[in-house]
Formats: sequence, C-alpha cells, structure tokens
Amino acid sequence: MADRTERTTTGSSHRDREREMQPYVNRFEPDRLWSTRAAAFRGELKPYVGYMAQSGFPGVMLLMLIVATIGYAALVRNLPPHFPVTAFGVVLVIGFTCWSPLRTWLKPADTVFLLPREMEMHQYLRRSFRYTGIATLIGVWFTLLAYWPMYKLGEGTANAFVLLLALTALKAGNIAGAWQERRTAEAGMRRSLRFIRWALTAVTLAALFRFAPWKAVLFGLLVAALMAAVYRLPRKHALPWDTLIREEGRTRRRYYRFLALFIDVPTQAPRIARRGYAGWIGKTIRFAQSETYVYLYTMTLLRTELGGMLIRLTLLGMLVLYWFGDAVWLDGWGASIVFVLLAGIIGLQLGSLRQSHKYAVWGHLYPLPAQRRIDSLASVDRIAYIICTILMWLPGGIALAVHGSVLQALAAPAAALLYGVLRRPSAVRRKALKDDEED
Amino acid sequence: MNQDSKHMNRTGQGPALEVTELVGGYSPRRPVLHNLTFDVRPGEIVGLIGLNGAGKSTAIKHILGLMQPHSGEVKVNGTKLDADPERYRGSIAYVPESPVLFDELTVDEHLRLTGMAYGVEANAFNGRMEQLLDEFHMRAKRSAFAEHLSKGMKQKVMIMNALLADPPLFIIDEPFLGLDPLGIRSLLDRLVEVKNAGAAVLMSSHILSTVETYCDRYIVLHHGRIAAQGKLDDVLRAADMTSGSLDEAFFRLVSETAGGGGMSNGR
Repeated sequence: MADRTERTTTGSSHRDREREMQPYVNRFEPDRLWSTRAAAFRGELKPYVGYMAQSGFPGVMLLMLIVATIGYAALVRNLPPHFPVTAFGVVLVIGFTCWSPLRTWLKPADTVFLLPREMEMHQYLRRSFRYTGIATLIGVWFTLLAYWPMYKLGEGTANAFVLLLALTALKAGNIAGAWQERRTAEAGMRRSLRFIRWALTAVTLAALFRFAPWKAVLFGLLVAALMAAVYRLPRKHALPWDTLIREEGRTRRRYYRFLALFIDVPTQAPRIARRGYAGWIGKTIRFAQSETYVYLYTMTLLRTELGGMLIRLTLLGMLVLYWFGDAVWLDGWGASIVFVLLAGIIGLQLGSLRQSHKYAVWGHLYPLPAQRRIDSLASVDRIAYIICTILMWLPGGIALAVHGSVLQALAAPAAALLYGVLRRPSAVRRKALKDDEED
Repeated sequence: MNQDSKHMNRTGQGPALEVTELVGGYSPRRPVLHNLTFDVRPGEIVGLIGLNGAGKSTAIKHILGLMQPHSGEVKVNGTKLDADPERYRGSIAYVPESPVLFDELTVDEHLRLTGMAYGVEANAFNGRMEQLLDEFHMRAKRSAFAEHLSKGMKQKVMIMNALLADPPLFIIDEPFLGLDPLGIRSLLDRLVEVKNAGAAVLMSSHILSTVETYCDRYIVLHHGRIAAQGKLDDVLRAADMTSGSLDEAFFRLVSETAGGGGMSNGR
C-alpha cells in the first residue's frame, strides 16, 4: 500500500516535471508557460507567507484598517467647511488608476531562450495584461467606493455608475499608456512620458470629481487624443525585453523585501537610483574610520528603493497632514492621529535598513570592531526617522499654529522626537543583534 | 593605528604572513587542506598555483579569517586573528576572485569607504584616489555604479581599493580574469612597486608565465597539500627536472601525482 502510494507520488511528480518542461520542449505554448511560471512564483512564496501570517501582521493591518475606517467616517460626518474634497479624491484614486504594473515572470535567461519566439509572445503578454489589469481595476473600484461618501458632499454631480465607467475607461487608458512607455527605448523619455501621464490623469480626475460629467469626459477624450499623439514620437521596441525583465525583478524584490520583515529570505540585489539631488548628504559625513558604516548605511538609504519610498511617504504625509492641520479637524488633534499612523509606517519601512549588508563579506574583512556596524545602523536609523517625521509634520504643524492650536502643533513632533531619540535606537540595536545571533 | 603597525612590520624582519601546519576545510571530517606550512615575507611576491579545486581559495579564506582552522595557525603581521582582530584585519587587503561591490556605491564612493575603513589619512586620501583613477584608466567611470561596470572594470575597482588601503600584506586571488592588457600591466607595475616599498603579496593565478616572471617564490598546491614550494629551482627539483619553465614543472607535478599529494604521502 505504502509502496503504491509512493509510486503514485513519484509518478505524478514526474508527470508534473514533464508538463513543466513541455512548454519549452515540444512546441511553444505561451499560455501554459505563463501558468507554469505564475504557479512557480506562488509556490516560491508560500513558505514565507505562512511566517508572515503567524507574525500577527494581518491582525495589525486589519486593526489599522478599522481605525482608518472609523476615522474616515468621523471625517465625512463632520467635514470641515474648507476641506479640499476634490484634491483628497484625486490623491485617493490616482494610485490605482495610474499605477499599471505588469507581471510577466520574464527572467534574464529569456533573452536567450524566448527571444526567438518574440512573434508568438502576444498571447503570453495578454495573460499578463489581464492578470495585473484586473487586479488594479478592482483597486480603482474600491478607492471609488471609499471616496463616494465624501464625493457626495463636494461639488461633483455625477452619479456612481458614470464615475465607475469613467474611471474604468481611465484605467484602461493608463494601462495602454504604461505599455507604450515600457516600449520606449530611452529611459529619460520613458520617465517624462510617465510623468505627463500621471499629471494629466490627475487633472482629468479633478475635472471628473468637480465638474459636470460631460465636460470631464470631453476633457478626458482630448487628453487621450493628445497622449496617443505623444506616444507616437519616441523610438520604441517591438517587445521591450530588458525593461520587462527589470520590472519583473523589481517586483520580485518588493515581495521579498516585504517578507524579509518577518523571516530571512534569499537576498536579492537592490535596485539603485542615483538621486543626485541628495548626493551632498554623503559628503557631509566626516572622513574618519569611526564613520565608515555611517557612510555606508547613509548611501544605502539614499540610493535604494527604501530611500525612494521614504521620500514619497514623507511628501504624501506633508500634503495630507497639511489638509488635516489646516482644517483643524477634531479640534486640531485629528492631524496628530494621522501622523501617528504615518510615522508608524515610516518606522516600519526604515526598519528594513537592517537587512542591508548583513552578509557583506567586507563586514568581516574591514579592520573595525564588530559592534560598530550595529551602532552606526542605529544612528543612521535614528537620524532618518527624526528627519522624515519632523519634515512630514512641518506643513500641518505650521497650519495648526497659524490657527492658534499651538499645543496640538507641538505635541506630535515632540512625541516623535522622544521616541526617535530614546526608544527607537535601542529597539533597532536589539533586533539587529538578534538577527546576528540567529545566523 | 593601522599605519603604525605597517611601519613596525616593514622595518622588522618577521614574515607578513605565517601559516603553520594548517588543516582546514568546511567539514571537520573531510579537511580540504592538509598541513600547510608557508610564509610570505615583506618585500616579496609569492605565487600560489594549483588546479581548480586544489584548495587555493579555501587556503585564502582561512588566511582572511572567514574560515576557522581545524588545527594549526595563521599569523598576519605577527598576530593571530583572535589576539588582535583590528590589527590583523588592518594588515590585509584582499582582492577576491570575483569582484564583490556594493550596488549602491559609485567607484569614487567605494574608494572613500575603503579609505575610511582602513583609516587612511584624510589628507593623503584624495591624492591617492586621483592617482589610482588615472593609473587604472577609470577616471571616466568614477561616478558609475557597479551595475554599469564591465567585469574587468569591477576587478579594477577591487584592485584600486586594495592599493588604496596600502597594508603590509596583499592577498590577491586570480586577478587577471577579465582585466584588459593595460589593466594587467598597471596591476603588475603597482605590485612590484608595493613590493619594493616593503609589502608582502600572496597572489593566486593560473597564468603561469606571469607568475613565473613576477613572483619571487611559488607554492604549488595539489589536492590540498603543498606539492612543492620555493624558488624556481626548488619547484623544478620537486618535479625531477633540472631545467625548464614553471609551466612544465607544474604540469609534471600535477599529472604525476594526480592521485595523491606530491611530496607528502598521498591520500
């Protein structure tokens, strides 16, 4: 009996393997290859997801969602008189509307093995468009659902069905636009096009949320025609292999970086952005042996995706907190509540800095005391945390102070400062030491 | 501190690297290295040669302190790693077989980081960096990230970092892979220069003609044992030859003793 079971499992696993190989061996079957690869990725993540679930993270997220919902309901119920309803809607909805990722599961080796099949890749990519397109479209609908109660309080006059249709069309346009950007050969051009697409989508969304629907739709059609003309300009690839492979790698890294918060995952090379405007920060670090790791961690923070995320979070926080501060929501304490939430996210993201250089061979070879790395990590983390949170608070805090709510303006940054200076460094140090012991 | 220790060593007579009866490897039950004893003195370049899998990289890892010996000891600059880790580490610069760069740092910033880590004096740093950038023709690439460097350029960055640190002992593992002819020449010129200034160099390579020309002594490693070591005459003698090149002697040593360990007693 046992013997038979075993034979069946080996038989089936053999069959599985055969099936996995088939898309390559017999004839090219794009559909099957796509499914095999999607399943492989899910299988790859499965063990880690279990750890994530055990960590209590889903519970915390759920709790945060509930708190946010209650807060949002309270905001809608007592909407301050000058609250920027349209701008709030644009910020809420634009993310899912413009962001059009594409999971292609393509890898570097494909430029050798799949490249000859370029002509037959349409079917393969159609699966990718459907997969990510539907996911982000659902996101758009959800954000619309969230925005709807506030929209009704603003100046917009469209009914829900019209908005739903308009946003779906806008999403489709953005997916098409994002694809043309991927095909664009030059990186600078690609970035400019993406910026234009986001900016024009923002304006279209604002028109949609503010004016009569027919005006907004007319405007949207004009924008679409303009973009279609602009997208014809640059030199383009038929199929942008390198761009798609890079994007796929980036997405995988994101998954792994997220999972790294809970459990050790295979390390992947980070994606680097130069961020020339922040280059001066590295030069301010004193050229001294004791500052070696401060320099290294600072550069890591500035140049990796972590830095980009912190910059975006800080900017978004500045905007949102300004609105809440300026509206003196909940007697001015509303901004503090949102601040705690955002500062928490910043702190959590910043925590992933300790995953960098954990295994770097140079850490073992440099003539520096072993403890030095962790001390420097804690000090870079502390400074970054304080700079991000204080910057994020500034506009809202100033607005509160102008409205005469001085206590409300000072409480939040004081708390962030105390936590950042007194509490956070020792927590970072403890976690980093624990990581080292586990390895 | 680092600069002082180097100075002490270069005026003193002790070896920069002293390996005694080293037995090592990944698993204690299956040692890869068997009783290695050799030294590298200030002012000489020693070539470490052997087939793939002979144990060269494992030996280098033991010297760097990345692996623990099963028995025997390694001293750098007269110190064991446990006794004074900072002095030990500060005395070695390492050029790995495959370049290991930080993705987020430019060429310039790698040099700066190394300068900081090895305690190079701030005043001397800029001059040395500029000189290295010129010597290795990397000036145009000074602001490039690792991702945009070719294999050979990455190797140059590793070599420039080692030279910048300017320690008493250089450990260089297969440095010529991917280097262009100008890079090879700059490296060899600089190695002769640091040697004349009193540094010790242990270099592993498969390019035996270059090893023969530039090294003062050779260590032939085969199946984790030292099959021969010394000057060319010593290696020839171990291979039962009276004249010939290092290449011929090496070929005889590794083919005659393919099943065993040369001068030691086989497996």
